[in-house]
Amino acid sequence: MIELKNLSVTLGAAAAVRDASLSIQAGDRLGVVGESGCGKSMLALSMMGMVPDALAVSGQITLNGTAMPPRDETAWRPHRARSMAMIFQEPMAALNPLRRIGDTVMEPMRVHLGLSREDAIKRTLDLFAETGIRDPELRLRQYPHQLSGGQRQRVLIALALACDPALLIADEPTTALDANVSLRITDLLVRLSRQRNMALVLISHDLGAVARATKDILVMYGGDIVERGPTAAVLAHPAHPYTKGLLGARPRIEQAAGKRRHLPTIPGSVPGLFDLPKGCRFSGRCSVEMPHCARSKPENVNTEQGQAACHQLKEGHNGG
Amino acid sequence: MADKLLAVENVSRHYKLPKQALFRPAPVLTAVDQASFDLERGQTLGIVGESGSGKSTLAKMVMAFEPPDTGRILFQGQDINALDAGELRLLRQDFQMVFQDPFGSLDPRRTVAWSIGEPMRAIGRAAPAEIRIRVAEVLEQVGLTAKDGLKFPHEFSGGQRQRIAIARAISTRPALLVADEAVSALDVSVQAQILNLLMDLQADLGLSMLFISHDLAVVASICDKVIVLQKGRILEAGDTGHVLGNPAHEYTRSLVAAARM
Ligand SMILES: Nc1ncnc2c1ncn2[C@@H]1O[C@H](COP(=O)(O)OP(=O)(O)OP(=O)(O)O)[C@@H](O)[C@H]1O
Ligand SMILES: Nc1ncnc2c1ncn2[C@@H]1O[C@H](COP(=O)(O)OP(=O)(O)O)[C@@H](O)[C@H]1O
Ligand code: SF4
Ligand SMILES: [Mg+2]
Ligand SMILES: [Mg+2]
Repeated sequence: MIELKNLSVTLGAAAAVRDASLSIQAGDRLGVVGESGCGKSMLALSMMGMVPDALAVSGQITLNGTAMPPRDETAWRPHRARSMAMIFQEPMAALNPLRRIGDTVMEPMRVHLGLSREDAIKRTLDLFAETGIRDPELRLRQYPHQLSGGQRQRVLIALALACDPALLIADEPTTALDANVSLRITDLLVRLSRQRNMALVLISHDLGAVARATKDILVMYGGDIVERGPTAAVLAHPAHPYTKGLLGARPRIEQAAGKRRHLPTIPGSVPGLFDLPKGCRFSGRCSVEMPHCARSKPENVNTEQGQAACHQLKEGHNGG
Repeated sequence: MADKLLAVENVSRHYKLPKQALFRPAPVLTAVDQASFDLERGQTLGIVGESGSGKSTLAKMVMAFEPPDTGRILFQGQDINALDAGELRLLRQDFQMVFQDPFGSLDPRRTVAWSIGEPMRAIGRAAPAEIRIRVAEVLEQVGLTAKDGLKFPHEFSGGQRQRIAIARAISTRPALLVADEAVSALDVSVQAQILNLLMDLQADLGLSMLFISHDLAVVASICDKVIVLQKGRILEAGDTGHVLGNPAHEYTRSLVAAARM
């Protein structure tokens, strides 16, 4: 359905995404994880043809067999909302505070599907029911600030689903929400993907949500895809030191229970775009780093679970 | 008898909602309903519950930002709402707060050192030279350097800004730290660093902590005791391992299940 080949998103000499390749088919559910600043949103925006003008895009993007220019509004516009739709990271930014919720959600239906106002209202009420929005008729007439965080997020899902997209990209859809609401929304996305055979890309730094919702996973660090494979297998047996670090740092309710023991951490933080090491992006923070890591970029090798890029890994088995 | 730092006794807080009909009284929302608990010196107490359950409202009352409508809050045996403004200002050095969004509490146009020194200046007891020394000291305690004090908030990452907010909070050598969703906005890796820092500071400084979070796994890793709030009421309370290991209520079970996924 959509395919990226050697995609890079760059700002001068710095790369926000470096050499990413992936392919998504109907019904796929792909998780993208990594700390903030690792390029997850840029990867998503490139699949929408929406990378900000400040950055350059290179590589190939193929949509339903057609090569797409990375940033040509006239080429992309007819596909948005129908071929692919996105739930953006900031719900308040995506909703116009001065417009009633109903008008915002109905707009793409009227523009792209040519629905009459009556049909659009009917479809919106159906979508609100499907996404678990209570009092749907009241919500139509309300403004964004009159809804709670969880309700706003559901409205955004309804908006993204308005034209029955073949691919839904959800960028951190639950980061601002509490665990129960986040769980319900994650499950809702999975159910919708199953019912509609819709492909789902779930971007999140919540490993629990990705584990629960997706079949395959990409782990990003410093703009590189450092590990990929089936979600369950990668999370059970991570091969890349970064994936291991992320999993280790996660507090676990069953282990901790009031013990106040130090958590394992990844030292330091993600460097800025211009301070990334040239070779392995993770060098400088990696606990099993070798002298040549900072200079030489590790190639992807096959692991038991999928693929990973690390000099510690030899073709065929996972060196950690 | 254990050494009681904080005693919350039958505290409630009501908010008036907008009137819905002209001749009917405005409906009232009970954000916190008859809550009672104690916090001992050196202990960390977690407060968990869904969004809207009253966690932040409780924190605002403990910090004396808002008075309770019923009940009392005793800090080191003193009713904080019976103090006059001057007494309260002095007592404030003993309890400090860290928020979810460190940007909100740091002035973007001021150096970090200026923001860290602010609570000390507000109390008005320390000389400028003393404040400078103390600022350098707390910066190092949270894993930054004295030089970092000369920079501005936007020059730091989210995790570093949270370290700065913690430095500011411990600058007055408080006995109690109230942390409201202090690690919720951080990546897991940075979150683990900040949780470790809080555990260290607590051991080194003998701090007590009221730790509010919707993330039960985080609460489990840092809190000795926990209370579960639902619609402003305390549903259950006790040792963290016990409450989260054998929840007595369906509501707590659902929170634990959500955290396990
Ligand atoms: N100043 C206020 N005026 C009116 N209602 C308020 C006010 N502050 C809080 N409330 C209401 O009181 C209830 C409890 O709010 P509180 O902020 O304590 O929740 P919380 O548990 O901290 O939730 P969250 O996890 O979303 O931060 C909510 O229903 C909220 O809408
Ligand atoms: N509009 C922009 N102009 C320049 N750099 C940007 C812009 N947006 C993001 N970046 C940079 O690109 C990198 C990847 O960002 P992003 O894709 O948003 O990360 P994530 O979604 O994983 O948090 C970061 O270093 C970020 O600072
Ligand atoms: S290539 Fe080197 S620095 Fe990078 S993850 Fe592997 S061991 Fe660590
Ligand atoms: Mg992002
Ligand atoms: Mg709150």
